[in-house]
Amino acid sequence: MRVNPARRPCIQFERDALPFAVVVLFLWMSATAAFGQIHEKVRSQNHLDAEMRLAATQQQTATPLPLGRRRARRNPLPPTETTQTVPSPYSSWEGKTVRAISIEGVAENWLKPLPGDLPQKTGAPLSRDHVTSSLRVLFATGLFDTIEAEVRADGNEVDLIFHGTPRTFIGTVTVTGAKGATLNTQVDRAARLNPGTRFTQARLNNAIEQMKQAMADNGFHEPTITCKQTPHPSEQLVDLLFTVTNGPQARVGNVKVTGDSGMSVSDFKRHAHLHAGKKVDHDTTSRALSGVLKYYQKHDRLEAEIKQEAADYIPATDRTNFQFSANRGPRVQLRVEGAKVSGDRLKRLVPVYEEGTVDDDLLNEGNRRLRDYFQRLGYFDVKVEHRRETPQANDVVIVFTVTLGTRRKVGTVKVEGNHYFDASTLEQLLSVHAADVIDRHGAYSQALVSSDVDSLRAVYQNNGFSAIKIRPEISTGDSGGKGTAGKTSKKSAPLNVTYHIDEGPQQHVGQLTIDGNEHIPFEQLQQLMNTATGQLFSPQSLAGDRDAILTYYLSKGFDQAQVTVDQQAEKVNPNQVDVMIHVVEGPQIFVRKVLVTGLHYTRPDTVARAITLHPGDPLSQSALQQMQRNLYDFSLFNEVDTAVENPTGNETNKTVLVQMQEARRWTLTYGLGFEVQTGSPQNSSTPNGSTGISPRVLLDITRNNLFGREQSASAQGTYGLLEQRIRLLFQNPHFHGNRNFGLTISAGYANSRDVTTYVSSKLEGGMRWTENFNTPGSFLSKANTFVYEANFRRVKVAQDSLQVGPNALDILSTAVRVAGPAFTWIHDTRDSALDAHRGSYWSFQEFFSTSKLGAEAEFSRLDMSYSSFYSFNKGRFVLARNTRYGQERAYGSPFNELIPLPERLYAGGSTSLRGFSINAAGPRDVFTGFPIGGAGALVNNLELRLPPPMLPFFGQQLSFVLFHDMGNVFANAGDIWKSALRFHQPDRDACKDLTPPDLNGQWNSTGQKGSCSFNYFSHALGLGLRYHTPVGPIRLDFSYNLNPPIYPVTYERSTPLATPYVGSASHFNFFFSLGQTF
Amino acid sequence: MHAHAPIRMLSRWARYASLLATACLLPFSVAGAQSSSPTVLDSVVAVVNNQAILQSDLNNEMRLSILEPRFNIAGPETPQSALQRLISRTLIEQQIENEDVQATIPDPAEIQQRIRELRRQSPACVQANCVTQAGWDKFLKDHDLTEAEVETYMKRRIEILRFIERRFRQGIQIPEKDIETYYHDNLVPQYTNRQDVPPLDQVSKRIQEILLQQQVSQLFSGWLENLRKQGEIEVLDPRLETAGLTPDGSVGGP
Repeated sequence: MRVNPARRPCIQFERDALPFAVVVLFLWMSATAAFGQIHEKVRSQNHLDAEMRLAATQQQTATPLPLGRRRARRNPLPPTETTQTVPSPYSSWEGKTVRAISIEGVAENWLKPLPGDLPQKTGAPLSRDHVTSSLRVLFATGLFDTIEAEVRADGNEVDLIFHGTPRTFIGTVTVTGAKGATLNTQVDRAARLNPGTRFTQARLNNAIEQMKQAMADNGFHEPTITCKQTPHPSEQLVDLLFTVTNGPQARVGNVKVTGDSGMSVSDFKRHAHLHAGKKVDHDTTSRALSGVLKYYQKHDRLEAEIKQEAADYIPATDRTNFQFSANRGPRVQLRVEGAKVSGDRLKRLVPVYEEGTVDDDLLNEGNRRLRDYFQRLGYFDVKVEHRRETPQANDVVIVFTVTLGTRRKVGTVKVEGNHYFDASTLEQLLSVHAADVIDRHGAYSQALVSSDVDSLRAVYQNNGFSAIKIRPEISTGDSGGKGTAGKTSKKSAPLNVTYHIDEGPQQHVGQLTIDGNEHIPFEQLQQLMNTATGQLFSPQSLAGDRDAILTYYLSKGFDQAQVTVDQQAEKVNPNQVDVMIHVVEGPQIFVRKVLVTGLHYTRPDTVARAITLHPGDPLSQSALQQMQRNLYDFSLFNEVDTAVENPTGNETNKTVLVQMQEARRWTLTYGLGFEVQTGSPQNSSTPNGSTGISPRVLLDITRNNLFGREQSASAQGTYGLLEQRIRLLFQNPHFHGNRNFGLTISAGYANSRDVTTYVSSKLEGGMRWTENFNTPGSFLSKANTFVYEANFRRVKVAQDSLQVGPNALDILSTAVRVAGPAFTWIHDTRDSALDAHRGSYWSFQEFFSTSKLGAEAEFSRLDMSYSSFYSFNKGRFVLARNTRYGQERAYGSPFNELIPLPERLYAGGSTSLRGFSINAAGPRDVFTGFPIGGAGALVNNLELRLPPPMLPFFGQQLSFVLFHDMGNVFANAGDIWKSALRFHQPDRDACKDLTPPDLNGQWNSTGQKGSCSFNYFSHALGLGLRYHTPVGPIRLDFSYNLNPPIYPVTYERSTPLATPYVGSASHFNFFFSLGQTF
Repeated sequence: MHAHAPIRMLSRWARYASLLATACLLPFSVAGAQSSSPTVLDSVVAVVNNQAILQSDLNNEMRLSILEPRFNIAGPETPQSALQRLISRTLIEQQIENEDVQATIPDPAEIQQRIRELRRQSPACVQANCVTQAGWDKFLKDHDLTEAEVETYMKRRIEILRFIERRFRQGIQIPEKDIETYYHDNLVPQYTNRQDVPPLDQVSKRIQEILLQQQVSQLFSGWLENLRKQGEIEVLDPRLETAGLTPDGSVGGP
């Protein structure tokens, strides 16, 4: 082919393409970022060889240029110049012996172990490579802004000087002056000046711009922001104090709306809450958008679009003019074909209403939820699809087509071929389950089967069966026929699901090796691992071991450590797997210094124990977080931040910055509460109380950070119908900084009516010493708490309130001093104190009131309880039980033997024995029939806490509880066990004897003995409702006492009793309160 | 003679004078260096994501720029343009390290092959007749280069190019339609004689390669621009700061 050279195209098609790499080489090395122009260049300079040849042939030859000639003529290439070689500064100095190396600009101790570790050594010849490497090493410490290497001659030797400008890092950042609830914090965050990071003027300028923008977002467009810098040259830090003046706040000006909004501007402004003259704040725009969107959603305009186009601030008027574009979009409706689904349920199942928009993801989620819903109803083969219809303009209908298939139930679910695990262990892992009383159809779907196969495989693989094979088999019984698509078949055959397991050989760990661990010996790492030679080979354990090793390295300051795991079956014995763990430690980072800032009122020695990092310790994130937790534990600080100075630098010793913001020293807490229940004691003149509401007001004033220490003084007050109390408290939760000991000293006065029989008053004082076991290696676990107390109180019952026989009035209303030590042991392993699902709670308390400490009533009281919680069916159900046992024994002189009424044991009420109203169980006064408490108590509660069903209005917030409570209060502790199997009140006829008792009858430690006995166990069944809230459940319990006691009433104090009668405790009780019963 | 010729001559004289002065002063400065006053050997001139670029790196880059395929095509080599090229290369090398790309290290034969191509095709080499050993030796001597330096330069270049190929070329598909469009819109109009136009089948692979390069170029360009935007790049010596330079160091502008 002959081609006219002058007209030959720029591309040389005759040549073979150069290797791609050469082409890119050309592209990158010569014009890396000018690639936007490459298209044009490709035409004329397609390849490197072409361009090169062009340059060459211009001067060497006159042969026709097939490529690029025209371009060459247009843009003659400049003749290649010989580069002028500048003499290297090194050339005169290389080879001379370095006599000394010094580093200027940064304190020498900051650079350790440099300069000894620099590549250029003292006494060695000066080498260009070593000097450049040394410069790089020094710069990489991050401590220099600039650095240069200088030499100074001294005869045949030289001194090498690395001279640098020290880098400055951000110390504390404080923003003050901005008026607004969170404005200072918002502005601080907008600045993004993180403590410890590098400080530059450019960053500061940028931060101020960002801060101004944050102020503008809050409606303050003309703020003034000043920054005061306080340098700390010795630490290479600078503290920044920003002072912000808000300036005028913008107000809403004009509002303009474009697009098909479907509403007038005034309506838009109303829905957007953009009223003229209203102050603009941080939420103005989002509130406007969400307000209008909510309006559209309410009118089924789920595809509505709204956005803010502009918000222009006019300084002259301090107004912001808004412009929005709004398109309401079509009206969207949902419809289901092939099955019946109520409108409310459909709205809950298809999340387009929830999200307020329509897209494929949400509709597919709707498909899935509808499918799950029908599968729960037994339509295991159900198929759900959706399509979009547009019957008319501005209307969209989303049609869900449901093909139900046959309605079945799951007959059996079993596993076969398992040898290593028993069937019951494996069946607990399965999501597919057979029909039962609670779930009438069982649970089955292909997804659940796949999930089960994965679960089974995982458990086998983690026990060394890497070749495990699991084959699910789904079969139907012979009886029953198939349903028609879209219709329900009432006689469908049950599904039987069998998982066939072929376990294969079990593998064990062969040789275990760890390499790369230069600083931590093998034995130490091995202790962290579950994997060991001869043990079952488990990939899960191995992954855990890898994480454990890595975490250990990180905790030791190796912040760049890497741990990888290799495994290989042995050739000789494939059932043995060799495990190789490779460690790349990287550099170890240590703490140079810990700088604590932000302590204005708090004494440094108060927080000293919480600063667990010290110079020379390995620096790790976990140690920093632990220190942060320690400081937060004081409850003295609103914010505790830890940062590392120069975080990206390669220096091996780093300064840790601990910055604290002290909390307010005065706190005022107030609250309201109430209880509603049957048998409420207030305003009641009957032994069983009356149904009523018991409101209460709570107030607490606390001075925290008392004397700069972790201690507080509080005044607490409660005023309610059941109780009026005032208390003064001094608390030191960590005595002398020790996290295991706390001290509380209290004094107060309480007036309470929590028993229908009397109103009592207590003037009390006490000291409480708490011991925890937080130290690792303690002889008891963290779950344990010991409390040692010394209590002094004067208890008195108001005589005019006392509902007892005339012969006991004086003695029971006499003020009595109670004093003595108490010991409490608490063992708490519950997962949640508010709503436990598993674990247990055990408390044991012993109290002695003794005359040696001035008591006028001598008795000992033992009160213990044990609760345990068991969840089953994958945590959906919780079985909770609680047993309380209490006994009191009076001793000392006969004068002191009568136990004062307020010091006795009681039971009954919402958190105790729900078959009785509050404190109404047990012995009663022989004359009036009012409860008088006892010297023994046993209460057992059993609850089945059911999973929350899906309910209209409540969703899954409401759940139910079935309970059984039993027990009673006894005049003597010795009567408890004798009464355990006694279901009926003994000798009820004696209780019906209305003969007034002898005023000189026999007494025991709880009062005059009567003929009516209460020595039996009362049983109550009930139903409870729990409405779950973030602060625990709101509780409503209804109980029915199967065997309430009867008692004779022959005397009433308030009004002369016309006719003695036989009283009876109520069968029915209800209680409305907060929190679980136990 | 052109009207500006006297000025140009003056400029040339000034350059010669400055060179002469430098040559004369150099021994004194070296002699001065032997005294007690310190002499700056090296310094950090720029920082790329906390990685230092030294004055000696920049000097090396200037020396090695003679090996660049487009040496002096995009404009005269300046310290500013060399620094920009160094910054780009540093960013790419950091990415290679971050992405843990096991870039294939070229074998010595491949490096030698590329050096032979360079000697044959590089404009500066062609002028110096580098194809011959004598020409090549003289070329290296004239530019204060060594064989080892050229080999290192070439090895580094190949590694980077492989990374680019791996990072950007994979996954690009060129539809047939685009090849045809390029053929009809770009190639055919360049031939006045329709009969000389090569058939599409014959050139389609080559066009495909060109289009591929264009896409790689676009992707690479955007990627590098992002690296520059997201990275922390600081030029410490104000004299090396540039305006109007593209990231590769070539002079930008329309």
